[in-house]
Amino acid sequence: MQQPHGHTLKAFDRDLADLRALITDMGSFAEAAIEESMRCLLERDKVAAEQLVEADLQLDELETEAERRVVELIALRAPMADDLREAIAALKIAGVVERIGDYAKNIARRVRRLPKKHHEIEPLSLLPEMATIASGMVHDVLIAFVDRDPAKARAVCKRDDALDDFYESIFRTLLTYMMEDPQNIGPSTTLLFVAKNLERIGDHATNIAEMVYYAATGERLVEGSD
Amino acid sequence: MIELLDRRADEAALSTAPAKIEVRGLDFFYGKTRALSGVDLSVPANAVTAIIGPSGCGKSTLLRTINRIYELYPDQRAHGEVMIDGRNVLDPRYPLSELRRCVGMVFQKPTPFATSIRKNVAFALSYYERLPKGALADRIEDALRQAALWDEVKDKLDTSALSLSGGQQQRLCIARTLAVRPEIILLDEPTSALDPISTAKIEELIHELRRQFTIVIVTHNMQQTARVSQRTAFFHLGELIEDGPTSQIFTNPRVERTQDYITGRFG
Repeated sequence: MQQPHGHTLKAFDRDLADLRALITDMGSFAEAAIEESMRCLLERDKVAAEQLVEADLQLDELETEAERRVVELIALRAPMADDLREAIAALKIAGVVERIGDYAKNIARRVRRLPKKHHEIEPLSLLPEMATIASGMVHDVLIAFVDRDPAKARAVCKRDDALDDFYESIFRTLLTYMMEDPQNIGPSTTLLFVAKNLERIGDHATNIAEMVYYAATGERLVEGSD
Repeated sequence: MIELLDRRADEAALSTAPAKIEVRGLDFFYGKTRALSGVDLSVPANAVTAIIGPSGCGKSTLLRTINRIYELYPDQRAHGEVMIDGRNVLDPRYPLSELRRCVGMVFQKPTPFATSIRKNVAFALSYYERLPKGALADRIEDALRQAALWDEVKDKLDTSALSLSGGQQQRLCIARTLAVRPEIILLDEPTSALDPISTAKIEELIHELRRQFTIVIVTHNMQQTARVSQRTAFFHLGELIEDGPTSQIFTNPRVERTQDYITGRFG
């Protein structure tokens, strides 16, 4: 997707570029948090998990900074058309990425509820793949935002189905696992929450994709359209 | 929510409403220079239509054509049709005095006559109508009230119009235009010489007047266009590039040149 040519007022271009960079930073932070939470879960790294929970504050601060910059951009630059849509999208995306960070934080919080590593729970091995899809969606949707690329945004939406299918499959596996032995109910419920969090991350990445699509085209992304 | 839906419904209704002014295939020439090429534009009644575009794009020329003011100058010609209520006002048989009564115009710089406030408003009235003294006073008051100037000048109607501030002078010019009860008001950058407070008062006035009149405004101020108009038409190099509901033009223009202009990427 070709970027539109620059504004006559160069400072406006710099403001928009800075805003995009900030949103990308937030996305990278959230993406890394998802991956780190999964590592903590697999390795039962309670210390690192605690650090991850605390680090989430930084994402909250970045969100506040993004809000401040969008308000300033609207007040000082009076953006119109695609610029206005991008500014509004950035504001909303910042909120959603912060929420994605909260899901990663929730996953990290579950680490201490899992039994020690030698008591391995089989469905746990399914979660990293799910996390890879979720963090990949977050990564790619922010690339789509920076590139103002509606095609990439649409492609991200389509991947949400895979994540939903994954969640469904994990849900059934865990259900079977719990029925086999009531002692599995505790850890299985924990894993179910984790899977649900990953599935919600996918939903939020899809929401971002819809915002990116609208910002880039001015049209609503219709589900199932090509 | 309801108000929001009302606004959307208003915009949709304007898109299909019968036009008060219908410009068809309009070309305009200053000598050999073509200033407008094949302009087709519908201007709905009881709405504000904003004409935007870079300098020299033909905005003011279009206004000058609608009230045929260009005829005062040699070597200026218009071809095509400007239909008002279904009659072509460019037809030389269309009486000019009727056109001038029907179409009022306010210019960039306030142009009060060097006489009293009262006489400024009475001047055009006495040209078009013979009114008894009491009725004349009423009409002057009506016009000044409509122009949101009455409260500020009611105690000094016989002082010179030149003693008023720029913003008051511009509202006086609007009152003068309104006095003859026109149907269409053309505003050519009416606030470009005014301070922000006076500008806000004129904008509020435009907002009020649109219920009764058809208003066409030319402005370089993009935010003003967004604030006061329901329809926006973008001109470039004498051509109409795009027109539509203002909210659509400013959030999602269909043509790249429009987008480049309103976002400040032009050139």
